[in-house]
Amino acid sequence: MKTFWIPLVAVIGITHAPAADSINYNRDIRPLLSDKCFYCHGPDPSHRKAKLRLDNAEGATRDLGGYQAVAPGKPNDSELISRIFTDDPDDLMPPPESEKSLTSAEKDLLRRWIAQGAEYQAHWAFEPPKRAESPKVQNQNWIRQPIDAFVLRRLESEGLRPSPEASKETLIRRVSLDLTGLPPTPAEVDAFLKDKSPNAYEKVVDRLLKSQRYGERMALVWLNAARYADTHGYQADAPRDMWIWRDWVIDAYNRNKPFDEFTVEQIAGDMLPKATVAQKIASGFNRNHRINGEGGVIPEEYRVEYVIDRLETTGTVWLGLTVGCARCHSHKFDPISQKEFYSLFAFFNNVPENGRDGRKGNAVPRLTVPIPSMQPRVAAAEQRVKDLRQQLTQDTPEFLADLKKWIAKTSTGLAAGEFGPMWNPVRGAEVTAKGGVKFQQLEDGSHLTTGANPANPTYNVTFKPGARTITGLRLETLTHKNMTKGGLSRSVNGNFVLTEIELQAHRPDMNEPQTLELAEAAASYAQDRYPIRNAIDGKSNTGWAVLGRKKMNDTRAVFTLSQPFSADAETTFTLRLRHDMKYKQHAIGRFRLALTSSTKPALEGKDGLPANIVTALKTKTPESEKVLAEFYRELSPAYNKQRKALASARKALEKVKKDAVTTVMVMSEMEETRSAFLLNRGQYDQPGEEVYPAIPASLGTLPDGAPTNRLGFAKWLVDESNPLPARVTVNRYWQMYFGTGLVRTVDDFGAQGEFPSHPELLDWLATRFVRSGWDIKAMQKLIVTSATYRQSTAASAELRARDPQNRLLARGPRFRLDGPAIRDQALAISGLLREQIGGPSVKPYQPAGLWEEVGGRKGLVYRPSTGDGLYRRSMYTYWKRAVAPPTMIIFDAGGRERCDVARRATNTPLQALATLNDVQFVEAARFLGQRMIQEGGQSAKDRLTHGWRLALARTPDQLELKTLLSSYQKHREHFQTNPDAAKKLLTIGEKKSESNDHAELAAYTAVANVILNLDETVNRE
Amino acid sequence: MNAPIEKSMEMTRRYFFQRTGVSLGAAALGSLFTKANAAKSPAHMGGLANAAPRAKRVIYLFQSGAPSQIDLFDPKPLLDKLFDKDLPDSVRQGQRLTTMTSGQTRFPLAPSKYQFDEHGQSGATVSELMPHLSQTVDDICFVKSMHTEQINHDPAITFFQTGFQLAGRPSMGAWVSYGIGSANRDLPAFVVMVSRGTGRPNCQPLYDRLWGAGMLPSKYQGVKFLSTGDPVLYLSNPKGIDRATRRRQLDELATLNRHRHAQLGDPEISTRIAQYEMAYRMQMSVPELTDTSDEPQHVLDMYGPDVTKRGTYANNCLLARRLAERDVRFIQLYHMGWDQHFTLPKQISGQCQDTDQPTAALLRDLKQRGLLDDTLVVWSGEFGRTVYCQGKLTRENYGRDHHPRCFTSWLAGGGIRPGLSYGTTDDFSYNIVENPVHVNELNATILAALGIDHKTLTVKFQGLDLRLTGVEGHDVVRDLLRGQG
Repeated sequence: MKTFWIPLVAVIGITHAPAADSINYNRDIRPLLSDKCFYCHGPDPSHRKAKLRLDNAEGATRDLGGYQAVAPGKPNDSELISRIFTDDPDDLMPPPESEKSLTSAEKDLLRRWIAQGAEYQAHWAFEPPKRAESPKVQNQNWIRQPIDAFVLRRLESEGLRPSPEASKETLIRRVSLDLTGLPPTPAEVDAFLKDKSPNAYEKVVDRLLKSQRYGERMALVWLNAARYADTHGYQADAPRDMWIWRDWVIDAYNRNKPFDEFTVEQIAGDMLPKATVAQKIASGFNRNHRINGEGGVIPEEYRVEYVIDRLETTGTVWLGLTVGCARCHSHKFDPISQKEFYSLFAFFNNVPENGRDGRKGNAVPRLTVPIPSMQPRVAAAEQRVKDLRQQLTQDTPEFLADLKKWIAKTSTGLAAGEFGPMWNPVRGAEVTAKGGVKFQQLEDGSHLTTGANPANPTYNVTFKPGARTITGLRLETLTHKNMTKGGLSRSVNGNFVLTEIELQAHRPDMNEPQTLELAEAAASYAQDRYPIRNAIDGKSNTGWAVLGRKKMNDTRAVFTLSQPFSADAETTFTLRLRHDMKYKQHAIGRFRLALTSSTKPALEGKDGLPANIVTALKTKTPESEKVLAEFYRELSPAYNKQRKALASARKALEKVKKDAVTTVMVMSEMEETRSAFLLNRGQYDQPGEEVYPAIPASLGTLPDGAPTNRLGFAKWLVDESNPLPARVTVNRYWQMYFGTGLVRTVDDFGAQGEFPSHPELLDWLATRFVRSGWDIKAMQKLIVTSATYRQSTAASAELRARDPQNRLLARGPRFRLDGPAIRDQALAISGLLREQIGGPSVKPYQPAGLWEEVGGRKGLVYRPSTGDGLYRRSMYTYWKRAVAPPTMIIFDAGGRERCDVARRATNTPLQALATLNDVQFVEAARFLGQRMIQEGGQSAKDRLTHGWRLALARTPDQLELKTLLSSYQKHREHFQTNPDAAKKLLTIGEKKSESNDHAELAAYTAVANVILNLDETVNRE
Repeated sequence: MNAPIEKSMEMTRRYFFQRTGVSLGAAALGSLFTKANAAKSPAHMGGLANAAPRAKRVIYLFQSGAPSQIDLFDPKPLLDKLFDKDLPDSVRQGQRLTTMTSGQTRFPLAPSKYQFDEHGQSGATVSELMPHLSQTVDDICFVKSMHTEQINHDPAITFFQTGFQLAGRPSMGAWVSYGIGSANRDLPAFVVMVSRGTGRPNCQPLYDRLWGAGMLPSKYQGVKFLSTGDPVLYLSNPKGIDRATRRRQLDELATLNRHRHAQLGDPEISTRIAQYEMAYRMQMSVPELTDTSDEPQHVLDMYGPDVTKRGTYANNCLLARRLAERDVRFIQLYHMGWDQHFTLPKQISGQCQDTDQPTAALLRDLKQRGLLDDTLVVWSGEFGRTVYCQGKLTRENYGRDHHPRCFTSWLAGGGIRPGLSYGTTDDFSYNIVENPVHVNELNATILAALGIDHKTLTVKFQGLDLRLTGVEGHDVVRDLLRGQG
C-alpha cells in the first residue's frame, strides 16, 4: 500500500542473468562501467584520474608500466579486477568517498567479461540501426505484425506465453483513448461488436487515425516535449501567445506531415527557401523556452540560457541525449566534449533576440499572422464597408439638390477668391511615444494624448501621404477639456514648448530615410522669447511656446520645405515632435496635421480646394459633374447618416482586422553571424576559444551539400546517417502505448541510458519508420494493430511476480490515464465536451485565489471562461507556468518549464479529491446522470448500464450491476428525504440541468460520481 | 563527535517508536532505518547513517524578496561616519551588480537608521525592528556569513529551494519527504503556506516550482494550504454530498474496484482504494488542523493580533506549530514583500510588524511543548541587500539593491547549536571575512540535522545522481550542529 510516505520500491530494470557464454558489452558491461567508473575514467579528459580511461579498449588495455587495467582473457592480471575485489580501502575501486559500490554479482560479471576477452563494442545507439530478419518463433499463428515476432521470440526464450487478446470492448476503449485521448461512444462500440469481418479492428483504427482528435492527442504529447505554455515563466510570468504554433502542430499531425518535414520545419522552417508563413510559425518550436523580463538581469546571461535550452530540448527530443551535461565540462559518460557542445550551441546562437524581454506579450523575433478562423469575420466586415460605400454612391434626390446648391455656392466663392491653397489633412497616421503616452485619434482627425504624462516625450508620427508633391506642413495644436485649464497641454499651466520638429521621408527607391529641411516657419501665435523659429533651429534648449494670452486658443504653425519633395504611394513620412526643455510635461496635448502642394503654403485663410475640383468647377462638363459629385459626397449633409454608418463600419473592420491576427514568436537568423565561444564552466561571461557550428565527431557530420547553419543541422537530424532520431522517436511512440519505452530512459540513449529490452525490435521499428518516408500515422497503426498491443491486461500473480513492470510484454499494458485524458474523458462521457480545434487558450474552472496568492501584483486574477470555454479539451487550457492548472499538476503533468518526455502515473489522495470534488468533475457527474435518465431507457437497470457503458465501453457484470442498483436506490432514498441536498448538488457547475425530479437526478449524479472515479475509468486497460 | 552508527540507529528507532507509537509511519520508518543499516541500502536513503538525527521535521520560514541584513542582524557602526560617502572600490572589487543600480553614477553608503543591541546570554545582535525575536536569541544560531551565486529573485529563490537556479529540480521539502517519508498517515508530508507582506504588498511573485517535486515522483511535491476556500485543493465534498453519502460512495467504489482487482490482479487498484481512504481521512484531519478554535487565548495572544486571520504570517506560524505537533515532516512558509529597493524604512517596519511577534511566538510555543528539540526552524531570504543606497539617500530614508555576497540566515531547534552567531562580514557588510556559508552548505547542514547525508540523498536523472546540494563539493557546516564541530 502506498500513501504519502515513501514506498520502498527500488527501480528495477529487466533482470538479465547472462549465462557464462553470453556476456554482451553493450547490455551488461557498459552500464556498469559507465555508472561506476566513467565519472573519473571516462570521456572527459579534464576530470580523468590516473590518466586511465575505461570507456574504450585502447584506454583500458594501455600499458600502465608493466601492467594493464584490463588484460583481455586474464582477469588475474587485470588491475581493475584486483582493485574492485580488494579489502584495502585505499586501493578499493570505486573509492568509498564516491558513494558508489559494486555488488559481488557485478564484480563477478566484470571478471567473467575480462576472462572472455574483454570485448568492447561501440555504443549501440551510435551505430546505425540494423534491419533484422523477422525471428523464427514456434507460435507463428500469434503473429499479426513483424513486431510480434520479436516480442514472441523473447517470450519463448523465457518460457513465457503471450496473453489472450483483450475483449472487443476493452480493445476499442484502449485504442480510442490511445489514438484520440477520448473514449468510444456506445454506438461506436456497438458497431465494432457487430462487425464480424476479420479486419473490423483495423477499420476502427483507420477511423480513429482519420479523426481530427488524433492530431490533438499527438500534439498534446509534443507540447510537453516542446515546453509549450501561455506565459514566459520567469519572475512576473507575463503572458505570451504561441497558440498558433500549437495549432500548427495539431494540423501537421492531422495531415500526417512526414516526420522529417515535421522536424526540419520546426528546427529551421524560417530558413527554408521561400519559407511559407506556416513554416515560419513551425520554427516557433524553439521559442517556447522561458524568457526572463526581470528588471535586474543581465540580458546576455539569459540569452545564453535560451540558446542552451534550445540545444537541450532538441538534444532530448531528437537525439535522446543529455547534451546539456557538456555545458560546464566535457560529458562524463558520452562522447561529447565541451567544445563540441558549444559548436552545437553555435547553430542556435544566431537569433536576433533580447536576453531580457517578454514583459509585455511576445518577445522578438515575432511574426504577425492571420488567424484562419477569423477570416470569415474580416470578410463580412469588409463586405459591410463595401455595401455602405455603395449606398453612398446612389444619388438620392436630396443629395442631387444639395450638390447643385453647393456647386453654385462654391463657384461663386471661388470666383471671389475665398479659397486659399489646399491643405490636405493627414489621415491614418500612427503616433507613438515612449514613457507610456497613448494617443487617441478623434473624429476630426486630431490626436489626443492620454495615458502616462512623462517629462520629456518625443512624438513619432508616421504616415503615408500618397503620390504627390509636398511643399509644406501644417501643425494645428488644439485645446481639449482633458488638458490643464482646458488648454493645449497636460503641463502645469496648459502650455507646451515644442523644442524641435523634424520631418523625414522614406521612398522605396531611397536607401535610407531622407531628412527634409524645413526652411521657413510661421505661427498664428508665439510667446515672447519662444518664437516658432526655435522649433527648426536644431537646438534642444530653445522652443516654440504659446503662453501669454488671456485664454488658450487653438494655435497653428506652418512649415515650408526648402525644396518640394515628390512622394509616391509607398513613401513613408516620419515626423518627430520633440519636447526637450527643462519644463517638465510641456508637451502638445492634441494636434492635427495637414500637408500642401501649394507653392506658397499659407498660415491663414480657409482650407483650399484640390486642383481637380477647381478645374471641374470651371469646366462644367458631364465628367466634371461626376468628379464634383464624388468629392461632395464626403461632405454633403444629405449623407450624414450613411457616412456615420460607414465610419462605424470602418471602425468595426479595423477592430476585427486587429482581432484577426495574432503574433507568434519564431526563429530567425541575423544577417551577420553572432560569434560563439566555448563558455568556461558554462558561464555567459567567461568566453574561451571561438567555436563554429559543427556536429560532434561521434555523431557524424553534416550531410553533403547541407549548409553549415541551423537549416543544415535540421537536415542532419533526419539524415539517414543519423542513428538516433528514428530510434528515439519510435521509442517515444512505444511509450505512449505500452507505458514504458523499449528503452526505458526515453530521454537518454547515451551510456547512462538503459539498454533496450528488445534491441532488434527497436532497430526494426526505426528502419521501418525511415523506409516508410517517416510516415507517422503508419507507425501508430503498425503498433496498435500488433498482437502484442492487443493482449489482455489480466495477469496471474505468478506472471506479475516474474515481470512486475511488464518489460517482456507477456500481457497488455494497463496504466493510468494522464491528467488531460481524465478530464477530457469525463467531459466526453457526460456529453459536456465542446470540440473545436485550436484557437486561443481557455480558462476552465479553477478554485479561486490560486493566482492571487503567489502573484507579484495584487489583482492578478484568474477569470474562468464562461460557456464553451469551460468544456474544451484540456490541451487548450491556459498554461501559466508559475501556477499551472491544478488538476493537471495533481495528475503528474510537468510544469512546462523545460522539455519533458517522461510519462508519470502516480496514485495519490489529492487525485482522489480532485475527481471526487472538483466542480468540473461534479458537473460532469450531473450530466452523466442526466444522460443516463434521458438516453438510458426507462428502468434503473438500463439507465445504469448505459452510464457504465458510456464510461467503460463494456456492459456491467452481475455484481457490478447489483452494486450500482443498490447504490442508486440508497442515494435516491437519501435525496428524497433531503430535497435541499439534492437541489444543492444539482446547482454545481455553470450549465443548468433539465430535470424536474431532483431526487432522481441527484441519485444518478451520485452514482455517476462513483463511475467517474472507478479505477477502471481512470485507467486504460 | 560522531556517535557510532549502530548505536545512533538503534537509538533512533527506539525514539521513533516511543514517540509515535505503532503507527503506519513509525513502522515505515522502522523498516527504513533497518535498511539503512544494511550493507547496501537504496541509494537515496543510505545517508541516514551519517549522524544522530536531532530534528524530525523542519519549519522553514522563507522571507521572500531578501530582507536587509544591515537593518536587522548585521550592525555596521562605522557607517554612521561614512554617511553618503562612496563605497570604496577596494571593498566592491568590481563585483557584479544588478542592472537596476549598475547604471548609478555613485554608490553612496547608507547606514541603517535602526538601533542594534546585544541580547540574551549569547549577546546576539538584533535591531530594534525585531523586539520579540530579540528575546529568543539564546535559542537561535545566526549565520551572518551566508552567500549565494544568484543576484536576481527568480533564479536566487529557485536556487535556495532546489539547489539549482533553473526550474525543474526537486525542492528541499520534496527531497526530505522522498528521503525519510511521512510520519503522519492522515496529512501530507510536505505542506506549504504563503502570506503576503504588508510592507510591500506589490512584490516578487512565487512559483509552484519552489515546492515542486522536479524529477522525483509528484507525490513528493508540497501540498499548498490555501488561504481562501478549501485549505487543500478540492478537499470539501460538493454541496449536497454529506459525509455519510460520501462514505457510501467510497464503499461502493471500493466494492467495484476490489471486484476489478480480483479479475486483473493489478496491485495499483489496491493502492487506489487506499488513497481514496486517505483522502477521506484528510477531509477530517485537515479541517481539524486548520480550525484553531481550540487554542487557548494566551497562546493566540502570543502570536499577535493577526493570528486568527487566515492567510496571515501569524496564522501560518500557528498552523506550522499544529502541523509540527502532528509530525508533518516539512512545513514551508513563505512571507512575501522583503524587496526593499526604495523607502526601506517604511516597508521593512511593515514586514517586521507582520513577522517579528509570530516568529518569536512560534519558537516559544515549540519550546514550551518540548517540540523545539526535534523541530528545526530555519529563517532566510534568497540573498541580502547592499550597503549602498539605491535611489535617494537621507539619514531617514533609503533603499537597497540585491546583494548575494553576504547576508544573514538563522536556524533554531533540533540538532542546531543554540546561542551562536557564526561568521563575520567586513565593516560594510559587503564581503565575508570569516566562515562563509554557501547556500548548498546550509542545505547540507539542514539535511544533516535531520540525520540525512546530503551526498547519498540522490535520484538518478539523465545518467547523473542528482542531489540537492550540487556537485561542487559543498559539505555540512558541523560548527552549526549541536554536539559537533
